[in-house]
Amino acid sequence: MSGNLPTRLDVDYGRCVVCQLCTEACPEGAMEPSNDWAFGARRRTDLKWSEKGADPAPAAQTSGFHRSLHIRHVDAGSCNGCESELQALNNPLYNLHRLGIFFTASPRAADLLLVTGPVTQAMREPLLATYEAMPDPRWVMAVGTCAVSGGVSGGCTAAHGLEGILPVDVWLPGCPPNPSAIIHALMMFLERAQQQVRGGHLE
Amino acid sequence: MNSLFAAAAMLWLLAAVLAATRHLSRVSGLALVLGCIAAAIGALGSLPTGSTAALLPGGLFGERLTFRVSPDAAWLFGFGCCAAAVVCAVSTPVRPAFHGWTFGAASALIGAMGVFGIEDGVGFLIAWEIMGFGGAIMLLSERLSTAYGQSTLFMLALLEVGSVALIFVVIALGIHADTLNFSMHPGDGLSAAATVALGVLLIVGFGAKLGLLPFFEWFPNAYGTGSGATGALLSGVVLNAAFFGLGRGLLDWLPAVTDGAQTAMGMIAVIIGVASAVLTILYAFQEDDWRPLLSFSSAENASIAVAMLGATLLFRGDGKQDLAGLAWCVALLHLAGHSFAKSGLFLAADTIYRATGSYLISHSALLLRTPVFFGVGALFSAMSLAAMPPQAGFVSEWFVFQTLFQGFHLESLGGRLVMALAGAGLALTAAVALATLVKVFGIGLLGRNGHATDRVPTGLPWSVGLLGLAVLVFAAGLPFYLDILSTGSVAHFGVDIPRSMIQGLLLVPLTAKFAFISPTLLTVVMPLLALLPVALVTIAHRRGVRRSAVWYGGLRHDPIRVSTTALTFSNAMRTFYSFIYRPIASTERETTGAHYFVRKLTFTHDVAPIFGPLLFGPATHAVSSLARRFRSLQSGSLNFYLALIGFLLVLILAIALV
Repeated sequence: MSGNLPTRLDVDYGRCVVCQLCTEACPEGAMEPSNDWAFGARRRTDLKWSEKGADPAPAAQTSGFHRSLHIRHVDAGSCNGCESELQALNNPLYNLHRLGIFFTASPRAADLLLVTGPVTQAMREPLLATYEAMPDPRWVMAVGTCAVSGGVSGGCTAAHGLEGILPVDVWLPGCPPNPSAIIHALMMFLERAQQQVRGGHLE
Repeated sequence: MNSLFAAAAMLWLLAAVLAATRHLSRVSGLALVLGCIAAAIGALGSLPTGSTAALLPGGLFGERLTFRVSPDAAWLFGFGCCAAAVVCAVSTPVRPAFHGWTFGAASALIGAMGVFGIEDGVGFLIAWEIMGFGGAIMLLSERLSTAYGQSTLFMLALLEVGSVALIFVVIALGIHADTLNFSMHPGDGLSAAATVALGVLLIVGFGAKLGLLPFFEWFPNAYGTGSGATGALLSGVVLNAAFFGLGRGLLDWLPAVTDGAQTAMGMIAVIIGVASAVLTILYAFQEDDWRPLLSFSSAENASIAVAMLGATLLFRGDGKQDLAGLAWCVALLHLAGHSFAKSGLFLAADTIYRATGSYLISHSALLLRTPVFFGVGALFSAMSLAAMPPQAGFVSEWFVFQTLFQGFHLESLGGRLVMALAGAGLALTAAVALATLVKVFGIGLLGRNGHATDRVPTGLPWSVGLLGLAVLVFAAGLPFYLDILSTGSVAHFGVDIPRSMIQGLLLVPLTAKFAFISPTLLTVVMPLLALLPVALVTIAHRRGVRRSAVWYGGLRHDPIRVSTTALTFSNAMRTFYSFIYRPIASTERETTGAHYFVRKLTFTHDVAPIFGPLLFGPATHAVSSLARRFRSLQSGSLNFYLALIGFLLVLILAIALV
């Protein structure tokens, strides 16, 4: 890069809405379309491309949690694209129940708080109240680029995802992440699948 | 002790006269209480032998009336009067009804004493009617329901059905024994068929007062017309009197040895008792008013006692006098403890009424404004009715099941089967009773989201505490004084059963090999269980448990709107047992004209009575239809009346000539 532009390009999958503009604009062919979708990560830094590869520091684990997983979902200002994918989880094709994972109606019975949307100002307080209502131990999963970084709707709502609001245990970008990606991220959380993205590199 | 009974009768008479003339309110109230105390001391003091026979002044049909309180009568009357003394001391919460209520209470107590003591058939019937009359006067004087007339009339109608059945029994036994003095087994020599027929009539007669099916349907509305104090007297000493009457009729009036008749009567009594217990407690659970709920509970407890009476007959029919004596003792135990517990809760209902102006089971926040003694008393009473240890109800219901388990000793398959099914039925009853009392105490007293506004008189909470304490003392003291029923047991069954039920501080169903409990030791040990919650609180405090606000489904905090109500508590059972309840729910919306803007929403719900549409409805319809047919006799035509008179004169003349 030259002139006043930055000399290096940062790639953050946590901000990617899969618009494919980068692949069209890239003159060198470094950015190419792909069918990769398993972008669930325990650390936010694993979604950022790094020449050095994966961060050597160990990621937080959820060891000891081997029961059926009960999820409370909160739509914190989503466009409902992510909800559409979440809805598909319980259809006969994906059939999330077979894995011992269930959505629950009350945070009182939930282990994991699944958040979609950029966390708008109006939804910030209900989200925190829901998290507060959950019993310990409790975990948080950010689903969709909006929940990870604010996404495309972040600017107009002055919302930038869950960072700094709740302690996130699993980050899953995507606009929206498909049901398989969500299932993979959940299985990764349960330590029944391996994380595939590290330091922005897919293994 | 007869002098104490005489003193009690005089005091009650004085109370009734002063109340009728509306003079000296304090004196009439005091006379009522002193009468109860005198009767209680007289009755309990006469144990274990009961009082000596005394001839009453005057006579009926050429026979002198004999008054003697037998041991079982003394037991039931004595403990009933102990509870009644407390109830009469606080009296009715409806101040304008004080005189009427006092008159009714005095009449009911005098009648009850007659039922317990008069050995003459006709004298007993008169006492029975006075007792019923007193109850009706109490209800009519308070008029706490708009439909008080209809409710009381329905009660009286059903009680009169019972009275007619009793009149038949007295006439039949009087003719058979050639005397109206029923002190010495007037039914000896009756055939088996006649014994069963008279036994059924006795169950109908006393069942109308005890709340056996189908008669329990007068309970909710009639009790709902009166105050808790009235309910306490009706469920205490009056209910005990009715049970004693049934027991005396079945055990003493009817022949002791008749081929198969005892077994048949026993089976009938057990089946009716258990079916009534199940139905009444199911209906109790659905009530959202303290008084009907507790009234159904009274019928349930009376039904359990009747089932035990049936077991007594079954065992006696098989010649197993020891087991018969056990069942008999258990029935007496059950009703004595019930008198205290039920009076305690009825007075708790009056306390709620004084504080909130309503008898509805709803959040009253009353425990925050009353002495701790009130809450403890109500808790002990509720625990007893829910058969929770170490209270009296727990002891008696434990004995109920122990007695039913002995059913395998019966020789007939039918008897064994009936006892086994009775065990299943009463297990269901006990479970629903527990839920019912949790509802009453949990919502009615522990509920904190209401606002009790009126001032509660100091006497009421303390009286509830006193009765609750009496429940515990009654239970804990049983190993020390249960043997006062020994003489009665020997008189009825020839064996001393109560002594066989005591082994030191243990209570056993005749032998400790089968099972044992000790309410005395439980009373001492159970408070130690309080260490568990104390330990939990301490651990939680040390571990720094995170506390979060109550979750209202994501909505705004609104404890009142989301609090559990009497309906939400019992709606699941209402749905599950809808084939019994046949629930009704309707919603009426009042709008401003536009459909979307609802100004007023009226929601009503209820459960349908079983015997109302099947039995009482058609009976009422038949009487109305008959009345319509006879109405033509009142045509208003003078000529028609003259014709009738003329016809009658001719008829009389013809009879005279013939």
